Amino acid sequence: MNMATVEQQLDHYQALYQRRAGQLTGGQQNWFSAVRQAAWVRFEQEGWPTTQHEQWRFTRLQDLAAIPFQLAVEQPQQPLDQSRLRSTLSDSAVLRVVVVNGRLHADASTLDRLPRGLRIGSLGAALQSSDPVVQAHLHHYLGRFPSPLAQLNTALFEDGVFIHLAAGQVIEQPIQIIYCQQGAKQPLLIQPRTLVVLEANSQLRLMEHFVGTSETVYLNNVVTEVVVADLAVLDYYRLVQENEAAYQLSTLGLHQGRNSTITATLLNLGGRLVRNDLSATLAGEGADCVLNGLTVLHNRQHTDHHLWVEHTQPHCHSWEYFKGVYDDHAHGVFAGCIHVYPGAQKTDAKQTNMNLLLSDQALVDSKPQLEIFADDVKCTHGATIGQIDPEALFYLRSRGLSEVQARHLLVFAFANEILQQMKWRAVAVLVERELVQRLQAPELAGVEM
Amino acid sequence: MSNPLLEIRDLHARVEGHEILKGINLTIHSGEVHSIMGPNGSGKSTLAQVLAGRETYEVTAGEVWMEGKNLLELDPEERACVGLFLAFQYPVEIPGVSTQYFLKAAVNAVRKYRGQDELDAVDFLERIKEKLALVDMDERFLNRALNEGFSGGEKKRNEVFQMAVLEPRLAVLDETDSGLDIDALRIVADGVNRLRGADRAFLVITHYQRLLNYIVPDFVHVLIDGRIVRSGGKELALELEQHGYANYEAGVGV
Ligand SMILES: Nc1ncnc2c1ncn2[C@@H]1O[C@H](COP(=O)(O)OP(=O)(O)O)[C@@H](O)[C@H]1O
Ligand SMILES: [Mg+2]
Repeated sequence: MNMATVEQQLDHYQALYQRRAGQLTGGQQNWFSAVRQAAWVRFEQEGWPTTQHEQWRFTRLQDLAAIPFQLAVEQPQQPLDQSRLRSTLSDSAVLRVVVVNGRLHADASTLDRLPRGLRIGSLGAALQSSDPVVQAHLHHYLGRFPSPLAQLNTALFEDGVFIHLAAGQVIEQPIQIIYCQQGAKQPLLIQPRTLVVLEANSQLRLMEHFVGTSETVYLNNVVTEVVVADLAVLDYYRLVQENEAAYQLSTLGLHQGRNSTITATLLNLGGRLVRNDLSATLAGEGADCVLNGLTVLHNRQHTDHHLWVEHTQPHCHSWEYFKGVYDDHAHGVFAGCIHVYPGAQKTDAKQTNMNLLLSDQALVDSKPQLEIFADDVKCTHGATIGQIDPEALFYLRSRGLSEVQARHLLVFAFANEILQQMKWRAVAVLVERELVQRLQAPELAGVEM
Repeated sequence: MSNPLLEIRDLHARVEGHEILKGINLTIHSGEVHSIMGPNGSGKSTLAQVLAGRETYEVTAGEVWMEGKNLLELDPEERACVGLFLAFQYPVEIPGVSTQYFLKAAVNAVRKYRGQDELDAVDFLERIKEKLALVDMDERFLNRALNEGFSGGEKKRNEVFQMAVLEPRLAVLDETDSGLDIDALRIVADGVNRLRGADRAFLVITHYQRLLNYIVPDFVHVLIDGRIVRSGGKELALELEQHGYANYEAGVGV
């Protein structure tokens, strides 16, 4: 692309920034304002990523960057039509947090009787009141190479969710954060920012659920930072169901202390384009990080997972297992790097990416990578791209299943490996239902395998 | 005599340009057990797979009729619905699909074809419990992923179990005995014997005579290089056991 358009695109964001900078949450004299300004400068310097950048080779943002998005936070907040949230979990105990257009929607959330030791609230409010936990953690976990989009979020976000769990607390009730949109007539730029802090020895189950509730184009520019301190345990889920005209660019930063455990399941039914920059830092001895992923796309959907898992301390274990199913003209990108620091001995890291192509036009680019600077480690990676196994198809058909039914079953089986490992069964049931719809396989309803 | 259950006439088939079946003729009536014996590579599995409708094999000539239907014109699933069952020599492992879900889908597909109501989970479970006992398996087995991580013996027992559940008119067993120890062989053979009956027939494909001590056939056919070179009664199996296939193979191509 030529420089003129790059500059025009920046012009648009500069105008947004100038209009907004004076009124940002936290004010201009707040401890955070210098961070915001620095982030803005980085964004201006780097601009929108192009396919010239190695990290963005397979994902074109040019079309996106040309859309004149308006800041969603400038939209008036209205009562939420909850029937549009395709998000009901059969799990009645859920603590629900609803974020509309990037702002916490208190009325739609169930935050009145929180268990002891658990704080859930507006990140904007916590920033405003200079909450010490927020001050200690916010913007520290964006990964080693924060994307320009993460900088844009830092510069301009207004709100999102702040979750703080005190040391030693074990919370039985799972938390579901729902991110949705409303009232948009023009394309919106939505920038939710979420910070989750688990203090030592605490335990939590959390889901971030992105639901497209508007039909118009929007850009969800998401940043979520998660800190799990020594011995703490987080069971994390993310389900992405943006509308099929929408864009999601997200940064998910995970930071782990000694002997902590994160089990993350990243479920992605896409949008128009979904890019996820996930970084996990195993910063304490004995930390354990499991990242399971399932992407199921159709039409012209595009998804790009960039994973960066870094082992800075010895005796840590990381496991990445990402599966993708691509139909029609869908395009999947998987790039994962395991980076082992000098001294991070006895690292045990494995990365697997398996892809199933359901059409001749579907495409996958898979790029696993190891960067190892310690000598006593066990690190492996592998990737496969394939079609439905004709032998398996024949086996099922020879028992009476129709070809269509057999295909559905095999695709579901491929995906089901991820669902089976999910401890929060209500989420598995929800995803199963969505998959049955996505695969147009009503006969699989209630399959429970 | 009644109409045949299966009639194969001058069947020729090839794979990747090589002719494997070179004119098979075989007639099977309800209630009969036929055995096909032959050395490795003679085309036994090819015949089994062609009967079941595997597309890899190209039928170049001949006909196959089953109960008045032109079998070669049917999709694999239609053949199953008509009552054909193939116990695979190498059953396929399918992670992520439980044996129970798979079998229920299969049973209901066949019932639907026959205009019967679909079974719900409870009815289905009721019906298959006794069949599990037939092959000496317990219920936990139903929740395991289909053939995944099964031992050779478990896979073969699973094939016989599926056969028992699907109640075919004609069961083709492709080397169901290979890789089995003597105990597993007995279990599999007992299962098959208990399914024998006047309205069912079996085509037992084997490399060794051993299985036929347990499943005693009415007819034995010797398949060499894509042709049935000799047919006879069960004593033919014993003869093969003693003299091997060498006599027949020497005659090939003459
Ligand atoms: N899918 C295939 N592709 C290529 N050759 C095949 C294939 N299947 C069978 N063959 C060949 O056909 C011949 C007969 O094989 P098969 O029917 O499996 O014999 P059997 O079951 O009697 O051992 C062999 O020479 C084998 O190599
Ligand atoms: Mg064979």
